[in-house]
Amino acid sequence: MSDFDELLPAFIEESQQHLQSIEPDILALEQSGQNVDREVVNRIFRGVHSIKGASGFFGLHKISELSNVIENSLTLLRDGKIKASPELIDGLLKGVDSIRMMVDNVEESETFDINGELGHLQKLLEDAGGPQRTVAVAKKTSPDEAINDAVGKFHISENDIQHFVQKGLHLYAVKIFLDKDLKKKNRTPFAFIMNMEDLGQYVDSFLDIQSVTGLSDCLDSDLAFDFLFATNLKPEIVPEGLDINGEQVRSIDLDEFRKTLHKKEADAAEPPVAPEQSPPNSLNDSLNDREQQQITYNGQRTTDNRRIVQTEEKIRVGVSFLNDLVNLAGELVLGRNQLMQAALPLVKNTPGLNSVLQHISRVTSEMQEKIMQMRMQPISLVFSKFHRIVRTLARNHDKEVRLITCGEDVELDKSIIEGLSDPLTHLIRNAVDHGLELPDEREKSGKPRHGTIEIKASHQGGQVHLMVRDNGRGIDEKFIGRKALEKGLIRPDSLNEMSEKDRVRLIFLPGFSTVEKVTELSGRGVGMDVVMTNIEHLGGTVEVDTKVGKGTTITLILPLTLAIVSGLLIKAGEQFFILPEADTDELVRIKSEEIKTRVNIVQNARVLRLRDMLLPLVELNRVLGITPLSEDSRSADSEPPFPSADRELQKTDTEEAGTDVTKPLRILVVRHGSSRFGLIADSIESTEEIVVKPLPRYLKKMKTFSGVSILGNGTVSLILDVAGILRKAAVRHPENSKEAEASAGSAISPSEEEHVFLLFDNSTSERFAFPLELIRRIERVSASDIEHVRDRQFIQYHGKKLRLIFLEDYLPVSRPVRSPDDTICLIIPRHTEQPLAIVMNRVINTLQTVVQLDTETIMSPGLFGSAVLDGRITLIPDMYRLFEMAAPEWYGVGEAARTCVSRKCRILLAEDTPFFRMVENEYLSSAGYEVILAENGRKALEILEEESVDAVILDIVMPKMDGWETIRAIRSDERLTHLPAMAITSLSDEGLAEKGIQAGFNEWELKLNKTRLLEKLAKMMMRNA
Amino acid sequence: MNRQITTFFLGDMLMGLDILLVKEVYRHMSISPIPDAPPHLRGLMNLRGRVITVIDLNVCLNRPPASDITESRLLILKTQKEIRNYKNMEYLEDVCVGDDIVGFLIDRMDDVLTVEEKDILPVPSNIVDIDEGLMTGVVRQGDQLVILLDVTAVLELVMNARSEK
Repeated sequence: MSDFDELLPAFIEESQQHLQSIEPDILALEQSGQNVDREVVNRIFRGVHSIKGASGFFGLHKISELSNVIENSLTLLRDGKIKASPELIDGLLKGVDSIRMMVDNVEESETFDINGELGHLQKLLEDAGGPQRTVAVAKKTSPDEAINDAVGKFHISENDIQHFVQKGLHLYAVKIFLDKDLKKKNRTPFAFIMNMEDLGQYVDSFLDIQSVTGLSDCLDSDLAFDFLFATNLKPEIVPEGLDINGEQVRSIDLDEFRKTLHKKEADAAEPPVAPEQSPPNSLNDSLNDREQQQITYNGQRTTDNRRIVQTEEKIRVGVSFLNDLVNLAGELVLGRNQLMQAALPLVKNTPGLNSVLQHISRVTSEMQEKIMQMRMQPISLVFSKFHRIVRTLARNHDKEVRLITCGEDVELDKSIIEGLSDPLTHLIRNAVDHGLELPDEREKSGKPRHGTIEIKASHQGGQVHLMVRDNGRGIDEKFIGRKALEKGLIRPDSLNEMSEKDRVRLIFLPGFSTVEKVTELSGRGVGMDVVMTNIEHLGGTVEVDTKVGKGTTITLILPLTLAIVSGLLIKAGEQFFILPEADTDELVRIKSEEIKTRVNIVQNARVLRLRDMLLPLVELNRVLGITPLSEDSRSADSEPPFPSADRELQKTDTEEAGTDVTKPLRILVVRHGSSRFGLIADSIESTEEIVVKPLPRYLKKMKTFSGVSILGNGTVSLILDVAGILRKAAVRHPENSKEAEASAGSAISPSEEEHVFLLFDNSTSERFAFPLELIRRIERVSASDIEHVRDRQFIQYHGKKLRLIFLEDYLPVSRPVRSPDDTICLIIPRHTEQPLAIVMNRVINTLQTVVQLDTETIMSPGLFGSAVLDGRITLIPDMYRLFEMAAPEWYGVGEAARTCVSRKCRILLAEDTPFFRMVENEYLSSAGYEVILAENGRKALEILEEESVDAVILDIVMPKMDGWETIRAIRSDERLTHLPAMAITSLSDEGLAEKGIQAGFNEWELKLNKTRLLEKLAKMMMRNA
Repeated sequence: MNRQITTFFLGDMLMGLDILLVKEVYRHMSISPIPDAPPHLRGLMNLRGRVITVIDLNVCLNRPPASDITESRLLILKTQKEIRNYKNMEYLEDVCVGDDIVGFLIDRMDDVLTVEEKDILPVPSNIVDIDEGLMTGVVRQGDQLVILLDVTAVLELVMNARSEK
């Protein structure tokens, strides 16, 4: 039966697909309760039906039997004869589970014991008293008629026949041959059944074993299958529709059934009578006009339904094949990079080479992108199973749970999707098991009886955020602390030093599990540490946010794909390493004369004073155990290449220390989860798009690396793992001192907020400055790479078309002379989604200063104004305004949205720094808000006394009355408790944001991010409305 | 059944590997060292777009690491997937080389021997330098002994090796 074996995998695969969609539908049925959605029932029905059909085809009786019972239950459900009770849903789910198990082990499926499942459903059917409880088995009535063989063994319920008769369908017995009708015509059984379903309704099928009577038959004749097929088609059309020979189709006379039905109406106890076969012609005669009409109507409807279901034609491809493609594409990119490097010197003297290179480059990038897309899968694949898990768990724990999923279309790389299933399941189990309270308990504390679990996926800045939120009892940090002490996971003194947030994070410690009892689904000895490790393994991080009594939110932050990342090429010793750009926040350059003042020792660790934070410093050389560049400094191993501050003076005699003092220090500010630290490398070379290859198994013990990659020059480079480096360097976070530092700083100079500006010129005598917060990166490119499309300029940057903006086109400034031989610098902005960059000549300096903004002397659209910086008049352009001027089409949506507001919303803005006050005022007014300004919190409160506003925006660090005090005052005033309030600050610390929300702010945002500011403001006001 | 053995030198010691395990012999190496790695791991190399882990066989066999590798060769092994293609090779059934490509750094290539199963003798006890578990047997070749390496055991050793620091 080798023909069979070929088709069997197709059967398994397709059945599995059906089962996958059936389960959520069954759960949806339960959700809908009394109002059973017929469409959903029909969808399940169709799935089960197809499986039943094909299993009959393969002689898989158990699968066929079970699907038949499920089908019958669904019919009763559809007709409203039974309700979607939990018992029925249970039965259906169990039945589907068994079918899945049998399909997964098709070979052994006949040995499965399915009596439990059958009995369960059968009992429900019996209780409903439906006529289907006996599955009518048609027996041969007249053995001497050869044709009756075909109709001999169909399973058909009377209810179905009743249906056919009512709808005026004909019943046909169709015989097909495996070889002749399927294989030769390249069809699978499923395809054949689908074909049938297109034309009518497939009812039953079986393998005609009796027709194979001997060995010779086996060899000579084709395997035959018998189908029972109900359709409105006329007998002469059926063979054509199914693409088989005419003599393979026989009509079955339904008159017998009609009679039986009438009889049954008279006497319900009468056993069903077998169908009898009659010649095709008689069937035609038996049709009357009414039936004919109905047929046309039905026919149309069926085709319409089908059309909705049909989608784009697809080809199935094996995953290993896909992975090969991904690898090849990766190698192609590498090859492209190498080719570009090798060919670059030749470009000038070889006409046409450049365009060919560009073309290859573009095609390669695009192809790789497309191939990566093939691996992308919607997260709904993972989400779908949670409805089932939550349901089971809730029932087992006597809890009432509602699961909301959101963002199902978010796509992630296949490998990430696969890795997500376990950690997410764990989080959901936790939420039901530990997070949500029992219904009575919930009622007592004034919550609705049913708890809610929300799973939400969303894109945020090139990463995917997966949020699991419950509105249960929350995590009590004191309880966690006690538990951790009990288990001896931490020492009492370190517990006392911990912040609230850190204590909650103790749940991630290995060996920490608050499970009190082992249940079927929860408490298998794996704790949150496994979630953490799994997610870190995928290159992501886990964050917890919890409020006792209110609930817990756990957010998983994941990269879109594991295969390609953009990274910084950095050097330690003589070797290059890659630091994923997603892990880096910023690059800080400290002038040699500032090193002593800005690098301090705090709690025996070296820290960098960065704005208002203290960052622990880590030297890459030391973490990796690399001897520094100069081979001759023999003491290098015993002494750090970068001496700690107090030793610095004594070491000036060696060459190492000598370079240290004269050379500015470059520090990479690296983020892992919510902790940040400064990484010191010997040099920072460039940014690269790299193809990540997995770490060879021999390096698995080396936690400081997460993967390997091949660079453009062909050498292999290791990718640094930030989490591993943190662990290895044993960085201690001076978290408490950071906050103290922040508030201390504000106490000393409350009115003078300093800001860092980037000073640059545009090959003219004018000087410009941007607040550094607005800038992501500076790139140096050759002017010859600029491409012109009509009056616009673009440059290819990491596979994207970056639109260039020249300051002289929008501002009243002198026009520089540009030549294609120039090297120009691009300012890549931080907070924009649009691929825009501003062209300049060179960076002059960065400057930390209090800016006195002059908005009168030199003014024009696109300018905030001017200021004297570094002893020179400096223009400060309004970056967002420039973008709007240059690319109005990208910012048009904002315009439309604000015209919708009938009345201008009034915003009270409290901000002490004139520069920011002006900038933010500009942002808000341009978006159509009416703005009232206040210099500090006290002023703001005075205004609130007199005026009514729709929202307030508060700066945190302000003289006289700061943002904290102000919000407290606002919230304690009962007239203002619900006033939407947003904090904007330059304090970029996540812990603070949380504190802010606790203090009563509705939103928390960093300064100068126009898009985000407006977005959050709109969202906040929307919520309030 | 006949087997073919590639032979090579580590210092003056003659070693052998079944030829079916070897993918190719490579020279002109540019190896990126792995910081803080055990001495067994010489580094990583790019071989036509694939990343190869270079293992210093000298270190694995308790010999001093090769200092100058300009004349050394790299014996690149096949992966598990490639070896799986050989069916009915009983002596390859227990070999486990993993799916990462590995290159053994050796001093000098020698020859290819054809031997019969009965020619492979148990390891004599007088080879003291090498861990007993790393050898599967010896073959007499003229007046020299060829020590047959147990690849699985060598790779196992490397995986469990720790950094000295």
